[in-house]
Amino acid sequence: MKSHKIYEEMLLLYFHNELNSGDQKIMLRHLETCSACRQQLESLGTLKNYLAITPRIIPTKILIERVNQQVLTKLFQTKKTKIFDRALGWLESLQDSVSGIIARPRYLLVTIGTTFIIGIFVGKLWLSSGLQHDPNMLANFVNYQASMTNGEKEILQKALANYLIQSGGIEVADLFQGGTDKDGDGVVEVNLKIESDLALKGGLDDPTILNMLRYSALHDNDKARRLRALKLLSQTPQTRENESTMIAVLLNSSDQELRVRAIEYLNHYEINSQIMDTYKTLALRDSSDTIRNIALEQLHQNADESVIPILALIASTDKNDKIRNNAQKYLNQITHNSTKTNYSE
Amino acid sequence: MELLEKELIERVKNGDEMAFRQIMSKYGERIMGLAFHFTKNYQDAEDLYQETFIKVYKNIQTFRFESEFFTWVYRILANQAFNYYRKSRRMSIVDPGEENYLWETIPSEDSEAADQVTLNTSLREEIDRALMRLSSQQRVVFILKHYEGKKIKDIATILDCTEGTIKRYLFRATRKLQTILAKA
Repeated sequence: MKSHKIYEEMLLLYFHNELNSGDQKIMLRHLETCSACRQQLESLGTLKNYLAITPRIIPTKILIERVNQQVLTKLFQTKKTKIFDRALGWLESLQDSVSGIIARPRYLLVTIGTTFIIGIFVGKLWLSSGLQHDPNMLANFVNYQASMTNGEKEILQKALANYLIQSGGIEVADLFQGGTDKDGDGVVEVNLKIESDLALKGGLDDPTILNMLRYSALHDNDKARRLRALKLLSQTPQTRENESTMIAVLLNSSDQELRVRAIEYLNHYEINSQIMDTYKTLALRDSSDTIRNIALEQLHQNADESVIPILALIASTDKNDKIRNNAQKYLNQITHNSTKTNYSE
Repeated sequence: MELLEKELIERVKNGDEMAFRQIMSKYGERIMGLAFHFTKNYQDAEDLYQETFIKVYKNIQTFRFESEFFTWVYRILANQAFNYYRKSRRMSIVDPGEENYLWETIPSEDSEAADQVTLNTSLREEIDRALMRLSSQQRVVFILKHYEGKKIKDIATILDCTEGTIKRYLFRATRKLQTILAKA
């Protein structure tokens, strides 16, 4: 005889259709004799009815296909765009955070300032990256900065000093402290001496080379180098900068040979008012007879009415007889032609 | 296991998208139906279905053909259902969601009972509400038993439990439902 507890469990298994045929027969026999189990089975009947009347809800094929497609999209497209999506998501969250902060009025000025600083930084980066590909860029920038302020010059000098310190070709020639600055800790002056020579290579179209030639023509202590620089400059295209260099040599150099070379080279330049003014000055004031005579010749060749008083002055005051005679001769020619022209009118 | 099914699984293991689509088409209806029984909500059922198949694809390399493939899929679905219960702690009974035109209601085979359904449309809601009051384990076991018609032995395999544990869940669920519905 089995314990009734076992029948209680068997009854539940019977209800759930989990009994094998042998146990099912045993259970049915027990039910015939046990009223408690019969009552229990009857109350389970309510649940059975509920389950029986519950309709089945099944998905349509359209739904399955649609959701399957979504699964495939998630699985296979996610794989391909995972990194991109992650980066995009990160950028979007960053954008949200940043826009959230800068939208606040109290951060507006900070935002404008930051944007400005970032702009300068990006500009510097752009410039430095450009220099890698075009070394002429900085040279052009410096050459044509006629109105560079002292502050800008100072920055450029410091940049050059930093560069030279890195390359090891510099030494401190002198160092002293004097004066006061804004914060009161005094001004330190460091005089630099460039130890190793810097060699530059470039064609006559290289703006740095041209700049160095102009510098050499004007300021070099070595006369032979100045002459060489002038000669090289005469081989370059006739630019305003080269013309100004020739004129500066003519007006400022004390060496006659240099001035003669300069005026010879200048004679090949297309005449303009600046060159004419230079010739007038030279014809009147230069200490060299040769230069005064060349200048006079040029004034004669390019004569206009403005030349007449100059020629008259030279004809009356020049210390050299030959120059005075030439000036008079040219003056006569010009005035004669001028008179003839007036009659013909 | 059918040769075709084994071949399909092997192809999925090699990353074959079309083979995976075939697998989903083959088992989709049953999995979606069961997902609805678990969630009682159309949208949640779709989510559960998607999570299940994504998990199937990602873990298919671990399937060693030691059990029926469908049993393995069932196990993943049941685990996802447990996660769903833990996260949502709710079952939408009153409003199963929109887009119900994508679902079909098949009346019970019992014609007498089917008539009763038309007379009392709230019956389904009542039993759903009663199911909601079961623990997640009891609920899953009861659904697998009565909506999927699984044997206790199979449910034990699916849920990786002993038959005794499944019996315990099933009996407790039965008694609880019996009590709740008797009061209804």
